[in-house]
Amino acid sequence: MMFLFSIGISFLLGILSCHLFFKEKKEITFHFLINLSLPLGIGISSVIFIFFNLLGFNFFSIVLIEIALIIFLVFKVKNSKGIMNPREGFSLNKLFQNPILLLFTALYFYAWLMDVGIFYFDSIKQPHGLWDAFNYWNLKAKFISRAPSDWAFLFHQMISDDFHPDYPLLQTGYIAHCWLYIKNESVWVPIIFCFIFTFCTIGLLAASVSIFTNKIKGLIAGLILLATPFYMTMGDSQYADNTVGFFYLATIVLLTFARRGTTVKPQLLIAAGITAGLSAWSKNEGLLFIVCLFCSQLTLLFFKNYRELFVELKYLFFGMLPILILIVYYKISIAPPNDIVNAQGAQTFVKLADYSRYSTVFKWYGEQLGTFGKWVLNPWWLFLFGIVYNGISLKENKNSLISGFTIIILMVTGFFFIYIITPLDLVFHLSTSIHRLFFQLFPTFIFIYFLAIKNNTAFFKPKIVA
Amino acid sequence: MKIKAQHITIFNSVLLLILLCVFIWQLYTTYIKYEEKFGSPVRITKQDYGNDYITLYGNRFEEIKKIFSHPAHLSYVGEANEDFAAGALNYVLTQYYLAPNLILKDKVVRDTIIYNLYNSLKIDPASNYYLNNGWHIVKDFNNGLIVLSK
Repeated sequence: MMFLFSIGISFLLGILSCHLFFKEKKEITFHFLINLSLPLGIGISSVIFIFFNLLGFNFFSIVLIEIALIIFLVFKVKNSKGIMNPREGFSLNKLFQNPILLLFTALYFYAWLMDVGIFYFDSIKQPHGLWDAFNYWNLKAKFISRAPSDWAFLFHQMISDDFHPDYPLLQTGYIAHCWLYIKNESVWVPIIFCFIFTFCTIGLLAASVSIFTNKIKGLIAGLILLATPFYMTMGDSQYADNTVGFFYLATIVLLTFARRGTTVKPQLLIAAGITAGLSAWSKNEGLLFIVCLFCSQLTLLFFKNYRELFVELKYLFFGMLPILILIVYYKISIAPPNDIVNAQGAQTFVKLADYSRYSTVFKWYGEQLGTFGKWVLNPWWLFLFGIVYNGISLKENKNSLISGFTIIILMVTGFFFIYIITPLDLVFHLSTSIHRLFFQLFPTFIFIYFLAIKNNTAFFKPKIVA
Repeated sequence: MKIKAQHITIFNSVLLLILLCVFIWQLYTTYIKYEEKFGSPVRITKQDYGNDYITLYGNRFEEIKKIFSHPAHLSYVGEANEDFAAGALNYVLTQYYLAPNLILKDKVVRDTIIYNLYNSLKIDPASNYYLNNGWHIVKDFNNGLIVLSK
């Protein structure tokens, strides 16, 4: 019961924030709103919990602060120009008028239900998750929930190579927050946390593609994730890769919304800043994402006035600033140095000049093309055909497409060079992480793909019946 | 133009059909792997829930948790000839179940030592370094977990 209350508070925080971000009433659907609000609220709750805990507030005071924030947001929403009324995203009439839409909707629901079942069966078989879950995320949540006033001191003394106390605390903080609510370290808390992020990523992807293109493309986008076997495995293993992947996707989607239409919407740029900040609060790769996000925006200097772009970047930065301050404080004052960063020195240049390392990483990157996602038959060539035959459309969302595609290229390049300079055994590091790093970017890649591809066929266009 | 548009429509229709087949094939293959579980979910829940390796491993720590009322720093000793992977897993699980006590596997020897002898279960008092150098057994939990103190 208390767990539901805790999730309910986060959901309210998320949904009220979304009300303030999306001022244009018919811009989004309920499907989109629910899938964005819940993880966003969870992220905000985690930040609030750790921030006030570090300031010395006890758990009860933090709950009161969350409730006070909700009351404040309710008043803000009431005083804003109108209550948001998302458009209906699903209509039975439309569904039965288009057999293709009906077919894909049925397949989507079948796949969704099947994946819920798979997630459940895998979770009861391994309720503590796999290595990263019990060694990093849930272990540190135990420290916080069992020693709410001493954990920072204890983290500082943990062995960095074994437990990585420098990893950010979104997942850890929220799990500890819920365990303190329910006064019990139930394994269902991390399971449900990961369930929310896994399925909300699918929902957000499907809803966003559906809003920017059409419903069938939205369903296909969602189905790609639903049908990818390894995506569910990563979710029920309780790794944080789906969490960070959600925030990458949310950032790109919110940026696309912000730049849609004739004028840029500052409140959505702030929202994108918040989700980018939350990605860095989820995993260290999120910090690379923030760097790549700003670098990718520089490509827009070819299409935009630099003053205009600077103002946009300012809003983006303001959105992530409070979270970045928390991350910097955590990294400097609490966590021991990161093992990869700490090991750099003269050896870095030796590794950068070692061509055999490049060849090894290239080989692993190449192998991912064939094995990525563990499909029976990889469908990627179909998407390649789709783009070759239909072409790319830069008419709408040009800025988002260019910057989004640049982010993906920069991230993949960034991962490449992290492997080159890693202090760990290269093959071991590649074999344990490359597929997960690519999976973090996968939902964002699918979104950008569907945004880019030309809408040529009558098949994709829903029939309009007078 | 019209012919090109027709070509594209036919091509996309074929593409969509192939994609649909790939999706159905993949979903069916995934379903087959879990068919037994979907067939009897209640039985599978009863059979699997609470019987995983990590939960069962944690049962060994129920008693030992009670003796540490405040976060303590403990030196960790595992089995003498364990392989790297097994040693790492047992160490990590000891930390997992004994948090917020810090279990440290470094060269510094602390006043309190925890032994996790999941195979041999007992230490040999005659040959044990610590017992012959000022440490004594605080409690042997008879499951391989032994706490030593100075």
